Amino acid sequence: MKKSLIVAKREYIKVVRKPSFWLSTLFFPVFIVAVALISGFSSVQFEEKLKSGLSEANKVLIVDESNFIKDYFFVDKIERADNLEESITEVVNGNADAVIYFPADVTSTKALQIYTQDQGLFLNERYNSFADTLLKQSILSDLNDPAKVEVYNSILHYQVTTYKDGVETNFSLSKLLVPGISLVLYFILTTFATSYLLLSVSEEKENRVMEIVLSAIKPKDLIVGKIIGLIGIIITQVLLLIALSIIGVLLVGNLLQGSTATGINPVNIPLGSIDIEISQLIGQIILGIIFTLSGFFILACVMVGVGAASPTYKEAQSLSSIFILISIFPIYFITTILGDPSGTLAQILSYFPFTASLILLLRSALDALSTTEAVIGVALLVLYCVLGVILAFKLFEFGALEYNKKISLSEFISGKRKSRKNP
Amino acid sequence: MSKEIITVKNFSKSFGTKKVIDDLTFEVFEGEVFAFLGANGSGKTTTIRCLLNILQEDSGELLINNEVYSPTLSSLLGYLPEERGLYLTSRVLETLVYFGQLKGLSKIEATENARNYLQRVDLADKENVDIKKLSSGQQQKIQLGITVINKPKLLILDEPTKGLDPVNRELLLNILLELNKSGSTIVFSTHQMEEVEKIADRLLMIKDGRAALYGSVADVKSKYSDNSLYLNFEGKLQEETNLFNAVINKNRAVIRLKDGASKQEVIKYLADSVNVLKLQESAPSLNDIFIQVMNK
Repeated sequence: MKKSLIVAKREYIKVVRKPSFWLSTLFFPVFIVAVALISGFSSVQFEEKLKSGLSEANKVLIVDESNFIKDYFFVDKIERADNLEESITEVVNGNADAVIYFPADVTSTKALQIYTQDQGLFLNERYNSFADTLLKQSILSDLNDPAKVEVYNSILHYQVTTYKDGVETNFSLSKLLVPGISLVLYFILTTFATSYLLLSVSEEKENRVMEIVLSAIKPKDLIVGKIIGLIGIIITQVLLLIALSIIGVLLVGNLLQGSTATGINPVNIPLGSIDIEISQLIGQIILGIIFTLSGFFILACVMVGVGAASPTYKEAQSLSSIFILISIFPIYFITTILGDPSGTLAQILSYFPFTASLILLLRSALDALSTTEAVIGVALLVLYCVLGVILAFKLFEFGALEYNKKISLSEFISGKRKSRKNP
Repeated sequence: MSKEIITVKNFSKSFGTKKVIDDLTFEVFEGEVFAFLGANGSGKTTTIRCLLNILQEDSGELLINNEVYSPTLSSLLGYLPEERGLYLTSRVLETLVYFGQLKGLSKIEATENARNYLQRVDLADKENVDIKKLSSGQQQKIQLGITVINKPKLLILDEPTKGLDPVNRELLLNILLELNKSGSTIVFSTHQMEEVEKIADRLLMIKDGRAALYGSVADVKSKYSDNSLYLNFEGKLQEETNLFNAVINKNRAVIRLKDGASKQEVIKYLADSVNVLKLQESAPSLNDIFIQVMNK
């Protein structure tokens, strides 16, 4: 174990010291936050500009041949006009900001005409919403029932009660917290972490250091050391991501604080609304850890095997990408799986080694995993991990010192080349 | 006699249908320098790998210190494989310390040994340099440093001077001799016979997977000696006597001893009959012996 820790320390320092580690760890989330920030800020600015279309106007002419528009809407800068041609001329000459034309046949054509100064593709539509409101509110006023008009204009709230197996279910967003975090971790582990492991094994083989290393440490201790180092790297990466996320959320929240008048509040997280039972939370955490780590472990075994079986990192990378793609393959069917988390596809993928972890995590998040299925899933994942370790070690023994050629499947299966005795 | 540090008994190894080693038996004793010779593909590396438990033997017994090798014995061992490399993006000192720690040294011991070694090979100013920035010769010195960082009791070196220039080769051989003087047993494979003559006590030459020559360097050379003496002399020397035949060229002669004649008798005769300026026993070089054995 002591030697494993020496290896782990080296692996950790080696990766953490690389500028590429900090670039990939910091740049990616900073980039996402920056894009979100710019995009959010621009959309708020745009929305404000859109809404300020009328307030910034000096004169808006309404030509109403439909006779739907009520007189009490004509106040301040909103003026009634009779002649469409003359009104348009006023807009063309810059004497009016816009003309909104309600034709007589609007009930059949359902079309309005707006004439205004060109202010770009999106801002040219700044009077659409006003015209729409003007017409609909005028029609509504014919109901002569203020209560009905108020209901029409209000935002409705919904209370949904659901049942499963004859029992009322109680779904809460807080139930998604643990599975959600597990999913994020799963993606970080399967994409970033396993690639570090592959690089590490391939580097030792490609640089011809493997034989010296194996004369001083058992393969088992070497691989365990690499995985421990990797977990350290991931913990660092996750902590950095969490810190950056908090900074990002606070930053974006503060920047958009002024926009609450528009109804946009991006940092409205109801933390007080977590209403999950402790026993359920513990269950979710345990399942989350098992599913996430087993998924990572299976891929880690693949990386060790592939790294040892391929003569160069480049070749190992191409081969390993197949397994990474298979692992995230369910993403392509995410709509089907989310729509029917207990359906045939989800069931099949729940028991396939490379997809089981992700699917079980998703189903657990959606409360679509029965206790029996969870137990079978965990048992299978443990089995896959054990098989993965056996295969990875065999491939490592078999291929670690084959510097110049890729180990073929047939050669591996036939076991022509005997290898080390005590892994 | 010294204690055996390496014991190989009836060792055989095949790859597929090709038998690389066939019933090989030899010992290496503590404190000696042992040369392991053979043509390319003769099975030297395979024997070393099986000895270090990197490959599995088909049959026989391969022991280091009376045990099958496992990395738990790594504190005793320094191994320089034929296919060797380095962590190119790592720094010199940290690489040496890392391997020192893997071989059981504390970080302080490993750092001290590493700095002493770097001093010895004139690389003290490179301790914080990335290995990829070193020249090929400097990188080979680092490889040797990794091998000897733990001041091992047993050094196994597979073609240690391969690719080294004459200056660095000389430096390496001197380091090996220093280590041997300080008590390390050295086993090395090579194609350079002058290296064997310079530092080896005993040798094993493999041919077709079997031991073709095995014993002390002196014994092997003596076995292949052609029973001749080289003489520089003044005076008149007879071309044939009952003790020898002489091929004379001016004041030099090659004296070939007749069957039954001893060197002592011939030397006495020469001393009595001519003024001996120089007398040298003829013995073939190991290089000649190697070629002779391989061509048999």
